[in-house]
Amino acid sequence: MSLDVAANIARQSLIASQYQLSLSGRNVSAAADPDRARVAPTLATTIDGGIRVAGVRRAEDTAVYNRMVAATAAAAERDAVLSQMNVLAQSVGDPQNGTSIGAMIGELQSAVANYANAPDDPLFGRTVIERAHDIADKLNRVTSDMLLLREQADAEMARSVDEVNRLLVEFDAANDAVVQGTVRGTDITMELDRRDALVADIAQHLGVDVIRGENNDYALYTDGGVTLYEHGIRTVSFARTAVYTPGANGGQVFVDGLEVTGPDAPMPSRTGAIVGNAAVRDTIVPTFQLQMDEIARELTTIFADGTGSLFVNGGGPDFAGTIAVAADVDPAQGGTVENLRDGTGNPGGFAAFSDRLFALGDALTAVTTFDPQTELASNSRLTDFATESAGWVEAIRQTVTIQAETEQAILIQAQDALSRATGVNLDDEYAQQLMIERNFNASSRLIGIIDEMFETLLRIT
Amino acid sequence: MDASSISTAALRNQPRLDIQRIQSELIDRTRELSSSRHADVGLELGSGTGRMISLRNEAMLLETLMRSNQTAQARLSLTQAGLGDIRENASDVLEALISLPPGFESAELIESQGLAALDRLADRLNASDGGSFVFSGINTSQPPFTRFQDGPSAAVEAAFLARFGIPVGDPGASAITAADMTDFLNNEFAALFDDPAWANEWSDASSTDIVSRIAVAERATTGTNANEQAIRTVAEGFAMIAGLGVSALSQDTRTALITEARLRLGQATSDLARLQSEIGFAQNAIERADERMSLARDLIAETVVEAEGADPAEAKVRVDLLTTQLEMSYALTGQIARLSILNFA
Repeated sequence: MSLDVAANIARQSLIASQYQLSLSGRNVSAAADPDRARVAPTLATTIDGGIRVAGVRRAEDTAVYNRMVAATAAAAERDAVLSQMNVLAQSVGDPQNGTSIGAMIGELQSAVANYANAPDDPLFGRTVIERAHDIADKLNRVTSDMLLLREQADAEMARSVDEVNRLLVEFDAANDAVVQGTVRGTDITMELDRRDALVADIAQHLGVDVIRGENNDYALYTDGGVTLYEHGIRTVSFARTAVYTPGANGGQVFVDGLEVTGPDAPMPSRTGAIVGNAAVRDTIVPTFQLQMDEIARELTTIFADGTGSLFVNGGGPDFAGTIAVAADVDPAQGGTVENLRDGTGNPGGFAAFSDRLFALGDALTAVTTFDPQTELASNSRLTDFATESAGWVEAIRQTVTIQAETEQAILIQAQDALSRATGVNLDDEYAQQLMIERNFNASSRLIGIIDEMFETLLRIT
Repeated sequence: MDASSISTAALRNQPRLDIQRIQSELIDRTRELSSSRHADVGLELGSGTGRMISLRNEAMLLETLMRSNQTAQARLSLTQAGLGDIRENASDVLEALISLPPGFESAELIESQGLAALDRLADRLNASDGGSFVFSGINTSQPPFTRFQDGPSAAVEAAFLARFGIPVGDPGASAITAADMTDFLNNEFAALFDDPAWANEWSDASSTDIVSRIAVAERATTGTNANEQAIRTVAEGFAMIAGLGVSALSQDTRTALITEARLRLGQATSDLARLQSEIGFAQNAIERADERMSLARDLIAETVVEAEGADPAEAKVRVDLLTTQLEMSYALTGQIARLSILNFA
């Protein structure tokens, strides 16, 4: 072995050290970015016994990564439902405050009972009318709130679809860079990081499965199995409905020409914010609205009796949105409460005629039939039906809250596991930098020694 | 990657996530501590929320019924007092009739006593309770009883004229025989106190009594009306001595009339006592219903508190624990942040 060779080895070591140091520096700068993975050089021995950097290895854990993507999508779906349920539950409120429609019907029931025991006191009659106003206002307000909630969910879906389309374009670029880099054999770690981060971003909106192909190529499928990306972008489309009217149906999300949301979807998506918002828009809110409509319809029916009818409505399906206190019984609209007391009975005009009011009290607690689509007992008393509706809302909120917490915990755990597996440890990096520094010092010293030896040799001859 | 590896981000993040979780729980527990109710009742009870609203509605209905029972009780007391007074009035007149000495002066006296008794009867029957007349049945907006001079007396006089061909108080009345008078009293005169004459001349009341819902599924008659047989008989007895010109009759005929009047008033006092006991029965029923309902209301209140309530002692323990945990997390965050190789290298 000649001094030339030794000098060459030392020189290679210097270069390798510098490369190592630059990678470590990159790791340090990536420590705060959860999307970035730790990189390390792969060293190879050269023919003359030195070392060179053969490539860059990126810390990866496919299983953990897949779990993280799935957890992201599942948590996003439950979160979307939960945030809308929290708004919906405001229409129920704390049972203590009597803000729910069930409590208001209870108040009407009491007011009617009170009036029935003192039918000759129009003040009690006015109380009944006021309670009826409260109920009509509440039902009208809930109806418009529910339409607003559906509009919001629709807008969220539109935003998510736009975002998915934008992310897919970026993904396409990142994927191309990865594939080309892999073929050329260049350092593609940054592109891999970028691509993985994009997949996780897409999963926020729509659950995706990743299939790994040749040359690090990725194909993306929705969790229902529809192709989202395979050697090119597939379009995600959605026709927005900006304003909802009662009974209106919103558009569905299409991926690659196939419906992925809604009851007709052949391969429905299961996770992601889009799915959560679609469930709120198409299932939960319409069901709640139907319950309100059934309450409004039944209230109108129970209290109907000619000029003594308490409520009027504009007919189905929008019973709740059009219910109002009838003018004939409302002093504020030129009617009299005596009409409510008498209905079509009491021809003698007796002041203490209470038969109809008693009958109303009975009717409020008589078992009647409701639309089975309401998900509540279809043979029920109106008072029970209305309070059950509050229970229905809170039951969903409770379930979704627990599920959202669970999914969130799973997501945090998956993110943590991924961070442990692929993240940067600053202390470790610094320790390695110290070692690299020592290595560099030693190699530099070696070159100095070799130089001295050449000097000595040259001086002798 | 081996399990022993840990990234700086994971290390630093862990206490931060814990702190968020602990803080949000701390807020809830503090609220429970001050209100003794669950921080978010709907979330805690889920589908049970509907039942809570339902129970509250039931309690509200019970409260309402108990309140309206107070009104019914007031009306019943007033009715009871009115009936008592009418009965007393009838016995007073009855006593006077029994001890009535024969003669013209005493006949004039008893005539005016009859008129006074009719006025007192009208006054009692037209008693009102905050604007509604208690003896009107369900026609509470109308005073039920017409004063004798305002119509019934004319009807009585017309019946007298039709039967005997002479007006009431005419000197010729002394020729009316006792048998004739008794027959008149039991037929033409008695018909004035049956429908339709009664409703036309005497009473505006409805024969339908007020019915109240005294408990959730219990109804009771909580009033009476001036069309009751007892009231008619009292009025009949009083009208006999007040409206037929007793003083103008012969002694025999007068005695026959007084006998009839005594019979009527005797019958009336026992009828009135029965009516009073019916009212007393309703009063009792309301009292019992109130007792039952207040028991039920307390039970409901207890159920609601039990279901919605949070144990403040447990909340306190949790708050203490969470505070300690939070302090430790803060300390840990600081310690981890200080833990860097740079401090040693």
